[in-house]
Amino acid sequence: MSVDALLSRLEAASDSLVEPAVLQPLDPFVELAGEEFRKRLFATEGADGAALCLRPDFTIPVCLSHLNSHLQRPPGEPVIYRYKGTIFRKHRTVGSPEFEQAGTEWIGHQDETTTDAAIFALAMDCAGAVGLSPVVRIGDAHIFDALVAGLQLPAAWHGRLTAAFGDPARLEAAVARLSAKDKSNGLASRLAPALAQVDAESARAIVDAVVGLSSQQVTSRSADEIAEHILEQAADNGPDPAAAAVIKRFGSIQAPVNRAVDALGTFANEVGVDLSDALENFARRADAMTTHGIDTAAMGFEAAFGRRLSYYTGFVFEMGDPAKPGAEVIAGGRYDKLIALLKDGVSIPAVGFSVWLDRLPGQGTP
Amino acid sequence: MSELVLAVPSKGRLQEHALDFLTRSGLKVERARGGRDYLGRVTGLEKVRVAFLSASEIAGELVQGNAHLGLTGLDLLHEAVDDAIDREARIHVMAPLGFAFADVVVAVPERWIDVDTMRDLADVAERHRARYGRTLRVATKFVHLTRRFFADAGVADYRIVESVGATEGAPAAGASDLIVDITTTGSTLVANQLKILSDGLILSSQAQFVASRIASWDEGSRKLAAIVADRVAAEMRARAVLELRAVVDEPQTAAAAARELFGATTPFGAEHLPLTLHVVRRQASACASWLRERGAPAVVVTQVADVYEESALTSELLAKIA
Repeated sequence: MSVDALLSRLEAASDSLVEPAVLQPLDPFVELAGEEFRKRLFATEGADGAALCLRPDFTIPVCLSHLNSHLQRPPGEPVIYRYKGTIFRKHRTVGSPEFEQAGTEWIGHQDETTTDAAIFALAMDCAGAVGLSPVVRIGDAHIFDALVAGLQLPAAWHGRLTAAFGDPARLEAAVARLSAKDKSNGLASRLAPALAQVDAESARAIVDAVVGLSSQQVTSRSADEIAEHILEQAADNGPDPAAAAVIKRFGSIQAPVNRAVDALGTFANEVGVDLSDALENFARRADAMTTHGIDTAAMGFEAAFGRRLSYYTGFVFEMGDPAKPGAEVIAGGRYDKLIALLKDGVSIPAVGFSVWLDRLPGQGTP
Repeated sequence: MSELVLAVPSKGRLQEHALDFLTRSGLKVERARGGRDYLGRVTGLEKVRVAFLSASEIAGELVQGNAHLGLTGLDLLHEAVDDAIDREARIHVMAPLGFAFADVVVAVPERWIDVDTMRDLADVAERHRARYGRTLRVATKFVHLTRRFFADAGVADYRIVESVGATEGAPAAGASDLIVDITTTGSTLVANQLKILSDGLILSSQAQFVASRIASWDEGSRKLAAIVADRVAAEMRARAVLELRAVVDEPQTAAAAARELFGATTPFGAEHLPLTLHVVRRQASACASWLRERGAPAVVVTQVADVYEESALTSELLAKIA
């Protein structure tokens, strides 16, 4: 019964039902989620040899179907989809490899914080419909991005750190690398002292000459790309233990959502990094959540909480069953980069959440 | 009738080495229909059935329990079962065989002069995705080894392109950006303008003598396995040691001191003269000089053919297939 209540909430809140095929093209998942995720896919082949997999997720198929159906409507026009169906993943720690999910994807809504708050309120409503008073974790990658930008690190570090956000082991390794001198014996470290003596233009000329000396082998990476990378490596020679300590300290910040802005503001003042734009947005979202009747004092903000997938860009949340810690029942987040990755030149903001129907209270799976 | 299946490589140099090794171990393989026969028997051990398979098939049959014993490469065993605990539950690696040495390595185009380490590769992978919106492609047949090594090295933005043969040609053909492949001397990589990353060694492999723990073991097949293991151990021990004989005063004290100094063993005890010692090859000369200094009028050093004795190889095997 409770599942029906949840589904009718989703139905009432959405514009249309989308039913992506169970067999999906394999490539988008591997390209976007990486080789690690591939281990969890049930991969197969079409009669024409095309690489396929059993649907492991709804977000990517819903976005693909949105892009395919946009001939009827402009792709940026806001639309709210809902879905329900089976998904398939190997090596689940909890539950069967074949399980049911329902959820919603909001594509094309421009006002970020208002949309975040509205979809979060719908998720809370769904939790309520199934009798769940969830434990809630909230994260916001924009704050981490602002921190990295504010630390004035060499350019190479921006990508390294933002790519590692949301993956605790990877971020820890990146921070360890930042705090200790890189023992690299590579070409760039040997060129660095010479490059430091000349201006940027001459440095580039030197590196171009060095790149030109190597074989004329054709590879997937251009001479330009290699030269740029060497210059970046050469500029990135010293450790920055102070910045590493700041990132580590940031990662340990946890507070109820209504107190998070204060905690982060104090932190920003102490470490001397300007996070005000990101915090203003966070506060605006928290206020909008309050307008939806949500008690933000009961929601936990965790500064280090993010998704491993690089197309997630901002707000993320998880709702768990207090009786079964460790496996989220509802999980959602903003993925503004995904659609551009699926189709060149089309950039559309999007946010969504999924409900693990096999983990609902009273559904029986341990 | 219980039988024991021994899987032996069916091709090339690996087969030659494997058959040499078995012959030296007193396990001569006979094939009724000559060199092209895919089944054989071990002379004098009628119940041992020899199956000639490719090295990767052998790894597969051992982890599935379809063969009891086999000779194959460590790289292929790691590839056949990714998880270390699962692998240990399925197979028991009895001994390295000292041939078919090869390294599984990460190699990139020589032209990538900005990439020397796995860290550099992680940076390039992430930049490549940011720049072109697609991941680096790694051609390999070692899917599991690659995934594990790359994950440990923090390289996430890549995808594997499975390659069954001539992996080293994949980057030049545009089928991949880099490779993970097996190499012995590195000359094939150099010929294809590829270089090994300075910390790109994934696994140092050689041929191994392996038992399947989940094969259908019964009393008969266990007994056969013990016979085979004993012969292998006897051959390995004989290759590893030299035998030293000398007449010395207080042989028991001398034996204890030789054990301490040279790791010498006394296969026949120390009560009788001449004292017989087994010493690893590189210590044998030193031990002989030492015996002379202790007053031995003569020290005779012999290469022995086989040493049958209580062997850890056999007892460990029996424990693992109990």
